[in-house]
Amino acid sequence: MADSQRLQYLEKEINIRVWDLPVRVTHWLLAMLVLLSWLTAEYRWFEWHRWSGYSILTLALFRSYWGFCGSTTAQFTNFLYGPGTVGRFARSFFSRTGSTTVVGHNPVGGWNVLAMLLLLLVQCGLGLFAVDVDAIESGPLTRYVSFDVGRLIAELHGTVFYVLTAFIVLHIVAVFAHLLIKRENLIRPMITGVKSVSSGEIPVLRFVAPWRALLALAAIALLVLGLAKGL
Amino acid sequence: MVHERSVGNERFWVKLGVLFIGMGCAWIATAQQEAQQVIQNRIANFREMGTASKHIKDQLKLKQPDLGLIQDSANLIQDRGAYILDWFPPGSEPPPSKGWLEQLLDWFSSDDAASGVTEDAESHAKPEIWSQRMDFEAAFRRFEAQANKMRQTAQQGQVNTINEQFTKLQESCKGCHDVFRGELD
Repeated sequence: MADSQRLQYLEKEINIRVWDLPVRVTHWLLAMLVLLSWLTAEYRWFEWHRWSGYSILTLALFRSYWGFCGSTTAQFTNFLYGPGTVGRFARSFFSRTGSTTVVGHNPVGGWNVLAMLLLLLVQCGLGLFAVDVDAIESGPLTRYVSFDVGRLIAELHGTVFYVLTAFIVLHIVAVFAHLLIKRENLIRPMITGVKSVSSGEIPVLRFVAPWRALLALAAIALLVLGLAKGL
Repeated sequence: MVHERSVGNERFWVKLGVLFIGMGCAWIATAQQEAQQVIQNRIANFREMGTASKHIKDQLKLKQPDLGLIQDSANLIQDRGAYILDWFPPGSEPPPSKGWLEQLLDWFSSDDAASGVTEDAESHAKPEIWSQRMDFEAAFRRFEAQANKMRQTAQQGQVNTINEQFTKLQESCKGCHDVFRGELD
């Protein structure tokens, strides 16, 4: 084969499956539910707010489980890197020739993902014990705390929302930075699960059967339902 | 000798002037302190009413509610609540709430009150309480009526009717809060 032809073969772009269905569904549902939770809190539609919160808790718990037992790209060990790698990736971000395409969450984004997940869990945990000003609206487990503690938790619930929003904004900015600066579309792969990579960069990925995800989700949903009923 | 006496006279008037200015400042500071006392007192009372409301709400969720606790809580709500109008005299409007930048800078302030080190709670009272006093009093009367009925219903001891009346009481609390209590953020 002539050298130029070999070069073309090496640089060919192929489509590979990166994100499994559980990760994608969880991602977009969480985005919509966080928006719903915020809106329902603003308009004081607390019954909807609680159910939105229970749904977020279920999905966040499921994603945490999937981070240990799910497909390769879903696992925490796959996208949480040490400071050296994070620094190298950040520095290479703006370079047109030196930057590599990462399959899965990149070293910087991976930590943002963890931060958002932890904040969601904390926020839902606080919500379970939050008491409104006249004790009319409150979380399902508030009988275990006093009025004063419940009020404090409600205030914390409000503060954590701002912190969560900051990380979400960072996430959105980063996605658009990839699109505009690196010319890398991260949104389509999170919808279709498929990413276009050059054939020199294909990692070995393992995908876990979706029925396992469904089983885990069902078990977690039952647990959260129990909490919702005040158990 | 005449010269020394006139200097002494001048010094006397200066000292008297300083005394009056000092008294004026002390009077203003005392008035502000008193207003803060009124604000803290009403916040403390409302929190106790909130605690009582929570007791009733928690008990009504149980299979066997503690009627004694429900009655005590209903009594407290009615007893304290009777004085709500007195808790909002003219002059007890809370200071205007600060913008986010000022609040952030307050964190680094050496002034204890500003940096939130002191125990003073922040008031959520909206200026409409004073500017729309008639409406405020009307909302209060609606609450007062429900609080009285709640006390009586609790005494009767029927859980179903207590539940119904508690819902009405909560709506009357909400009726005032929705209009006259602000969210600080």
